[in-house]
Amino acid sequence: MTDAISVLKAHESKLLAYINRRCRNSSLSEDIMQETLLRVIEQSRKNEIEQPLAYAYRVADSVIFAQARKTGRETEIGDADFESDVPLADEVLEHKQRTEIFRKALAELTPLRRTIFVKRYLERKSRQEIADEMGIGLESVKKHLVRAMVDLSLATGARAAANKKQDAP
Amino acid sequence: MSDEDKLSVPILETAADWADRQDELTPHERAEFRGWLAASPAHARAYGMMRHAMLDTALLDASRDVAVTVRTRLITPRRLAWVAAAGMAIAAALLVFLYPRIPAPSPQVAQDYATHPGQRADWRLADNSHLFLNADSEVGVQYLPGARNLSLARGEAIFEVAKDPARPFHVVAHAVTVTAVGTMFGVDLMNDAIGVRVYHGVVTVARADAPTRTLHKGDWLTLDTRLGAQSGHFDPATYQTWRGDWLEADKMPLSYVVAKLNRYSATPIVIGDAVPPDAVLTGRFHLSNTDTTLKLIGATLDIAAVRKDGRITLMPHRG
Repeated sequence: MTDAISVLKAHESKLLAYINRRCRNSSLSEDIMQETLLRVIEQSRKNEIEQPLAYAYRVADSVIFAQARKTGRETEIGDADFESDVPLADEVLEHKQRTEIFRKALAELTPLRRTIFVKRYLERKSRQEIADEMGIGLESVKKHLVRAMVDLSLATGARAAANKKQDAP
Repeated sequence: MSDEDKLSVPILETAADWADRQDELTPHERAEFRGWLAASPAHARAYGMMRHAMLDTALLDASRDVAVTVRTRLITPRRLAWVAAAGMAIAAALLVFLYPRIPAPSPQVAQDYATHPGQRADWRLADNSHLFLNADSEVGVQYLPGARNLSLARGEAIFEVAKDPARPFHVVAHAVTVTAVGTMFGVDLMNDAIGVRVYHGVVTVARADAPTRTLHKGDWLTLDTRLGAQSGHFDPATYQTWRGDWLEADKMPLSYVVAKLNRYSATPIVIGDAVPPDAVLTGRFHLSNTDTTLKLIGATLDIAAVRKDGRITLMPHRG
């Protein structure tokens, strides 16, 4: 358990810089950092984490998001400890810039697609509820939803980060 | 580029579908998801990217803006005014609630300044010196024509001393006297130890059984009845962090950390017999979030915090 922590300790400032950029209100960064470390410790007690650093970044994303949404329910971090690129803080755009990019990408979606995405993502309605409300098929809801998600995820240059070769530690 | 091929739109769409359903998967579907994730590194990357985007609070904000542009049309100006008024009333109530009560200083008589656990405060003294009190701390102040005598009864205080060479500024903590002319320094009572930090200027530290020491800006000194004297340097600019809820520990003994935590904890924290009080800790610890901090300390030193009989006792972790 102390192994995961010692790996993270060595990267503490990088992780904090990442959290700073990633979250809207950087005065919460320290709290998020603390919560992230705690979650990694708890998880490493249950299972061995193969990629503690990559895992910590995903936990940080989840903690930031859960806090922004202010729901008691946590976003599932996923029990799969998959390998993924560790984002470098200076490759993450400022929160404001990212909001602007997402705003544009949302505006570029067709009105139907945008409405379906907002109902699912923000209002957290089930796909079936959305289908019923809008009088369209379930398969159609899914198609619009995943297309919207792909467009949005490609918008921030997240793709560039995802395609980047794994040269991070 | 081959990477571009791997992250094709169909893979991204499948990743989006998994990411969207992540909270609702049945055990069977979860097994299927894991199989898909493990099938190709491209799958894992596509999923990581999707998750990264969907968990971005910037996307949350942008989506809210989209949703709000639809809704604001429904709110009449009158209702908006009511919402604004309610917001201001809440802000005003918060201000009243948070603003510390400041007793008027009285220069003629000795006066005590104290804070409750979890509360910090600061005061301007009669000579324009500033007193900053950490949580659960107490300082007695007695101003005489030829001297300014203060005593730290418990906790931690920082003094920003107004220059007055005719009246030296003494702070007594247990058997130790810290003297300043015009400077800024902190005195910290941590169980059996007394810590002094100089943020600006020069102070002298005297104890009956030891030679007087002089500390300059950026010097710290800890006099511990068990561990003896230790000293070193710090960045005086970190003064502001003292005012926050965070403790920056750099190889700090557990007993000091616990003393500081106790200033914020509603339940007293004690170090059990089987735990070495001198085990050192490094890192940033949240002082007012006791539970989280104790868990973090517990994980680092492999000890457990046990709540019993109205106190929290730190004990060796039992596997």
